[in-house]
Amino acid sequence: MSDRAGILALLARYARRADRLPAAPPWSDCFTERAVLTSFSPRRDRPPAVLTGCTVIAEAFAATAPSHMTTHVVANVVIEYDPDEAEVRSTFVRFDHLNETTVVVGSFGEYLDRAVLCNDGLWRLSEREIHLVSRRRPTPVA
Amino acid sequence: MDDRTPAGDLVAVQEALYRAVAHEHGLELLLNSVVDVDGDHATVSSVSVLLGGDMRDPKIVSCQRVLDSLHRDDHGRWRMEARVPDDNPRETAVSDEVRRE
Repeated sequence: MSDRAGILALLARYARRADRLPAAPPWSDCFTERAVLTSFSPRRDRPPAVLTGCTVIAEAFAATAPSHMTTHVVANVVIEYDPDEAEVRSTFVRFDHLNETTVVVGSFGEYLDRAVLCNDGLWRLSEREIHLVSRRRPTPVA
Repeated sequence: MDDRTPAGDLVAVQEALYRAVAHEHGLELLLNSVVDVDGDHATVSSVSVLLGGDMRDPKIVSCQRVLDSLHRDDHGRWRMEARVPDDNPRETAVSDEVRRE
């Protein structure tokens, strides 16, 4: 598999895991053990949230996962290569399936990643910055 | 698509286009792109999904087919030249909600 194909597969694994699809790979197939995730709010006056370590990241995602189904779409992937590492920039949109008939744009923004080629042949994220441009207000629970 | 076009050229054209489409307000996704390279000229037909709205109310502003043209400069770098609509009207949709605004 080419480096580009391997990195595109990584982005797809992340989306499948984030969308909690059946048989989705574990977060440990997406992040290195000591990965750092930094999430920037659409409000630029707020400090970013920083999570360190795959386990911590996985626990945070589990704790904040929405109750409805989501679909992450990633596009416009641009890759700059270093030996066994790569800087990856992409654009994403998350669709929220509020119920069986209503799908809305939940959020969109950019991912700025550092990916590394691991010994098992998988590319993983060692750093991910999520730059949210817009995020829908949470739907009130009735 | 020219079967003889090296795969690296196709990726280089697409990545040059993605770098060029940054928007001041909102972001654009280019999907289903078909790249056609002819020497130092290339065209890319894509579905453009433009995202906008305010920071707490994300929206799809437009969804349309577009045709981008690029050329390769003297340093071998691809540069975006122009964009024209590549519309089949039946495939173009603008959110009614956004249209009202």
